[in-house]
Amino acid sequence: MSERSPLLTNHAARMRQAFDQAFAVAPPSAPPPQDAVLAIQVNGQGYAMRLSEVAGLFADRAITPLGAAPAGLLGLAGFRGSVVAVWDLRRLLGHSESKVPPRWLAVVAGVPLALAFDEYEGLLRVPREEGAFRDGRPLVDVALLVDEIRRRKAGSA
Amino acid sequence: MTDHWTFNRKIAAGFAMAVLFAVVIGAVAVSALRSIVAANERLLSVNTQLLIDAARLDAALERKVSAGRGLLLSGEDRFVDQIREGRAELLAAVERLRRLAESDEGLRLIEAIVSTEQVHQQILERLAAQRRVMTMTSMDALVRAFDEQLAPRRDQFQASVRAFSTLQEQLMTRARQEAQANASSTIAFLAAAVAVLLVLAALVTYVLTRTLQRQIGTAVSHVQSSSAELQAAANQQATGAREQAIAMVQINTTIGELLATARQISESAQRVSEIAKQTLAAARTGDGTVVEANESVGAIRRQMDQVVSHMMELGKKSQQIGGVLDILSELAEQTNILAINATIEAAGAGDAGNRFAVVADEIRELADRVAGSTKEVRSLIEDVRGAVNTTVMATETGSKAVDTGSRQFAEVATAFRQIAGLVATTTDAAREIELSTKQQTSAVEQVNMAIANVAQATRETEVSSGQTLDTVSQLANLSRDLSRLVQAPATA
Repeated sequence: MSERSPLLTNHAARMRQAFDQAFAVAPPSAPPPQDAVLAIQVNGQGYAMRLSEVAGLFADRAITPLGAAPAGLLGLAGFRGSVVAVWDLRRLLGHSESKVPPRWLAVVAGVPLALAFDEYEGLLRVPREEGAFRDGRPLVDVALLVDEIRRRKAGSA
Repeated sequence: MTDHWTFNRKIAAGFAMAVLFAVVIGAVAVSALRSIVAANERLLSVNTQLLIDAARLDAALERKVSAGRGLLLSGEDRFVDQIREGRAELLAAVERLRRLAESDEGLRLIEAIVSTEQVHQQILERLAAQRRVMTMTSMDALVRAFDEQLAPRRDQFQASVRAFSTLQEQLMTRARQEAQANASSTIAFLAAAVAVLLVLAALVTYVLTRTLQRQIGTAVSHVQSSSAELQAAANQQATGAREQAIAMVQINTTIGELLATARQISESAQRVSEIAKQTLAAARTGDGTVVEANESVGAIRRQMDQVVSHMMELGKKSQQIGGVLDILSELAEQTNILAINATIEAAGAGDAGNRFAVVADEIRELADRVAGSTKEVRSLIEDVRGAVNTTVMATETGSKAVDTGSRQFAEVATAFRQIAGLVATTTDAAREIELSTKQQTSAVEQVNMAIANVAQATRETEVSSGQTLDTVSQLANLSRDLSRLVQAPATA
């Protein structure tokens, strides 16, 4: 992020400067071993989601609710011609249901499933490491969540 | 009948009766007097005359004798005349005696005297004749003859005369006694008549006085009671006049106080008028100040309205900017999403997607920067909006304050106008008070004059009541005298 300045007049100049500088920098020859994570917020708490596990990030998509849906299933949404089931990440992580339906959708890779969360903070490139935390944020285990979803679907059917 | 007669008539009747009695008594007395006077007259004239003539006889005879003596002595003729004169006188006297004498004895004596005188005369003439022829030497014989012849005749004459005189004296004494007796009887008769008439007069007087006393007494008692009432009334009048005079003095004092009070009121009204004028001037000044203040307040409000409208414009503009920012935000977000998705695709593309991933990253960074700037701008816009709101609210507050101030100024202006109106009313009232106090003063002065007139009238009343009192007391005294005249004073 660029340095915050109360004076907007300098802001445009700085933006231009930063933009121009970006072209001046040579492309990195070998990217360091990094993990790209999405910094997200669920119920005011910060989480991290591996970008490799996400097929796409979308916001403000129309979710069509299903009648008699199991708890946590918000509805169905369409992405590039395919229909996915949208599940509430809050419920899945154990938080309470929010009154306001979440804006952001992260489509899970390889599964017609989308996880809805409250806020998208940005893309972080953190050093690759093991552990449940990335940059101090608890890592969302998508595979685990998918299994959980399958179980719930099976339970309700 | 007599009761209806007036006092005049009654008194006249009484007097008439008295006069009648007096006339009767007078007549009786006059007749008695006349008889007495006649008797006395006779006594005086006749009897005394007789005596005087008798004495004159003597005297005449003496003259004659002396004349004869003279003649005999001197033989003058003048003595003859004297003798004649004496004789004439004597004869005259004798004639008178004869005429007057009434008694027989007297007449007889007169004749005796006459005869004696004749004898005497004869002798005398004889002697005279003798003397004429005689000489002086026979004087003695003449004288002797005179003495011897004449003297006895003379004595006789004188004796007769004396006897006549004595007779006359007796007669006179008798006549006097008769006259006295007559007079006494007359006096007695008169006394009786007078007594009777006195009784009658007393009776009449008694009746008259009783009537008069009764009537006058009644009238006098009426007069006394009326005079007493009049005295009481005059006393009351005097007292009333005195009280009135005192009241006049009090009224005078009160009027003086009234005048002083009226003067004070007039001065106060003038002061009020002055103060009202000053107040009016001050109110007008205040009004002018209020108008000016109102104008400046109006100008302030106009300014504030302009500020508000500008602020509203600013708010609208910032809203528009917000709209633009929303677009930018949306763009940044969408760009971000696209960049993310591009990165994901690039990751799926393998090595060939690395350079694409770089570009996608740069796009993402750009989007982040835009988002960050947008956030900053939005926060600034929010600040501007907040400032605008605050300004608008402050302006509204100020506008409300201006309205309040304007309203208060309007109230003040109204109050000033009311003050001006009240001051005008006060000035009018003060003028009216001054006018009415002037009228009051003139009325009071008129009252003063009227009071002076009344005081004068009171004094005159007092004087006249004093005079009335005097008159009344005089009347009371007169009535008392009158009552005392008609009846004896009552024993205390």
